[in-house]
Amino acid sequence: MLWLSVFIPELSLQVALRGTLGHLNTMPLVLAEGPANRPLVHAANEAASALEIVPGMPVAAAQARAAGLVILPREVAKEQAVLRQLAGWLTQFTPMATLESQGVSLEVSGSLRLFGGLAPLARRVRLGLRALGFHAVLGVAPVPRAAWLLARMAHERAGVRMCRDAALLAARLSEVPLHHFDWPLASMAALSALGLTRVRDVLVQPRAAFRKRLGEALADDLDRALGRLSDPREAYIVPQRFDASIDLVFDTADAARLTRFAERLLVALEGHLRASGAAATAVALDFRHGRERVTEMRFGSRTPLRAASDWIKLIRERLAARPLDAPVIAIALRTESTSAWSGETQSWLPSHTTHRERWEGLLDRIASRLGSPCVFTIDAKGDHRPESAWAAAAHPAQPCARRPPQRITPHARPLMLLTQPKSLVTLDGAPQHRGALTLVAGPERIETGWWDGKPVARDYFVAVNRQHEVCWVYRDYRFGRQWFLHGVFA
Amino acid sequence: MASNVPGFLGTRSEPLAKPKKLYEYTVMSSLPRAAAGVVPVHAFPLHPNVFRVGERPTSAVAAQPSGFAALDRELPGGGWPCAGLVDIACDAWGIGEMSLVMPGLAVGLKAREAHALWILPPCAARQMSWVPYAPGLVAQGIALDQLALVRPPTVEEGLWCAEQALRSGAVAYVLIWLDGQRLPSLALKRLQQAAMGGGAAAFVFRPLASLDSPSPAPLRLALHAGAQGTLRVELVKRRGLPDGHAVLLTPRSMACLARPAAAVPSPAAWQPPRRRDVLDAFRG
Repeated sequence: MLWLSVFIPELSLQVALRGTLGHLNTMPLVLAEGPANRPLVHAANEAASALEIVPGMPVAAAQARAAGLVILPREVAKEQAVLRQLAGWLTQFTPMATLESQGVSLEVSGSLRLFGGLAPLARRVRLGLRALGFHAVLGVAPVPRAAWLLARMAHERAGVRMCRDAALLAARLSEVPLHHFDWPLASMAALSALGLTRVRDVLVQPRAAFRKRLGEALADDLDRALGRLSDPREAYIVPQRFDASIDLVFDTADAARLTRFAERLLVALEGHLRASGAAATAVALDFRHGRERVTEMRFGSRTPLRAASDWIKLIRERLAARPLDAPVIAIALRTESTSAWSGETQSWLPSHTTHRERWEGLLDRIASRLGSPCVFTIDAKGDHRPESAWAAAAHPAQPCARRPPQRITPHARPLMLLTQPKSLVTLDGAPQHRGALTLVAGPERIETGWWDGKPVARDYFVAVNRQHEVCWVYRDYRFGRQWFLHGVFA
Repeated sequence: MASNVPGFLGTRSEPLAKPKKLYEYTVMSSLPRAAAGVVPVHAFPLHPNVFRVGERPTSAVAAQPSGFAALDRELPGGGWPCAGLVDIACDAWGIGEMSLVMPGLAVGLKAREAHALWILPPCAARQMSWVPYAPGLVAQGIALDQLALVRPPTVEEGLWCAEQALRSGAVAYVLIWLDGQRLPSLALKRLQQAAMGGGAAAFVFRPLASLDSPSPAPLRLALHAGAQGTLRVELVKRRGLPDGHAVLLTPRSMACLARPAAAVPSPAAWQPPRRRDVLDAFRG
């Protein structure tokens, strides 16, 4: 067993600042929590800490120390949602990911070979988390509790803390401060009253006495960290649907900024899809403008897509073509439909499939810029009624089946059809379309469709006008005896 | 016809070993006669992009048959260019302007396993909306699964689509209808460059009024209706051959007009069937 723990230092602060693009890093900023009439500082960023603003002090006191202090609310529910989202993202590296208080622990012994060893894996995790908008520190140990404690230690001195040998655990953990264990406050008070602050202080105490004075839970937790007690964990189950959002600190309608936030969500989506062995064929991006107004954009692809870089192309096109008219306060991304991932074929030769993919990609790009109904394919159907003899399908639909083209009639069919036949005025009995029409071929009688409520009873003719334009006209002999223009032989 | 006309530079007497770079010619022509030796003017080597008038140039762009032998004889390279713009001017709607392109497109799609993108003219909600009719296309031999259609909201978006498609290299044919409106000045130039870069052919349908302004397309046609379903194709501009020739074609969809059936009634005389006739037929 080998556990890799991902610790997100200052999780609440990082979650709140995820809705900015680094604009607030130089300004003093605190997160406020507690009762509305006397909010307390929950966390302070570096600029605020430099002004001696510490967690626990009233916000009013913090405001007195820093002019122009930025105060954001702490949202516990959002932090938990982000943690679950991170666990889903990290499940792409191993099926065993488990939630911690401020991070995620992964069992990676089975994944080392696939990812080329521990160092490349750790690198991938860190780079991926950075793309998601998080700074993380890692710890590695044979048991999860020890890995977690090492990760928290690593925060104090940046980097990866590692201990792969179970026998050396006690020595490596001896320096760990006891407050990293997140034990109850009463126990912590008792420990500090005894002058015990680090693991090594506890380890020299008589075991039975420690257990008796401070309780079974603490002693067991310490044993789990040292690998003396088994520590079964529950794996995080990735949900079927992906649904994540980012609340923007500064509302904006700028396409470039919105794209960067969307990119963070798409990286999370990519990890989620990798974790669940799926690929998405349709995603929806919601831009929330206020309490009520939401602009929803749907993006579809005929080929299932997984990579954030593929989706971001579509989103960039749409945002460039149709800029948002109101500032956005939150972005949410969810999957509309997913399908199984068939894997990527890797080849150094340009092949037919890549050509096909380029074609599909082009259509996706056009459809996402112009809107899906603007791109369509047409197919011939076996019906005698001209308007039912074809069908259009908007783009992300399945391509029409490859089969030899079938003709159900020997008669001439025009190349262009009017979706709504245009009624023609008659002059001296002759229908007029840019001049009097002369019939040159026909009649072709089509009388059918009485069974499905769209009956037709028509005599079709090929007709020519003075400009030698060849039209396809019909006379309705059942319903009104009117002449109609239905197509042109373009 | 054109190849028999001697150009003012004379005809090329022998094939040249290898084309030289343009600067080599300029250096040579600037040399004094004695140093360069006497060079007969017809043997003077030419840059591949320079051709003698009246001589059919060796086209740098491959061509494929258009499906009309008479037209192929007149087109440089012997058919539609495989890359580049074909600027077609036509005002009428229904004289066979699409049928002119269809046979070549059908063969090209079948042979090259390629794709075609048609960019239809933008249409307002209340306008009559025309769509390519699938059974008609099938009759022309077009493989519908290799075809996608776009109806852009504006002309600019249509041009954007065309450029993306031509650049992508995934599309062999782009058909775009540009109705009436004034185009952005460099729009066609951009399309031509995209088409050459992506190795795709673009057929641009524009009104006859567009003939008044120059076009960057290497091939430019004007279409007029002839009698009995024929189509008069005027070669307004083509590379290497004199302009202004016209060809008379009969597109396939117009074949029914070439031999008019005797039994077609006049519209005024046409009487729809009466129910009683049908019943009589049943009674015998």
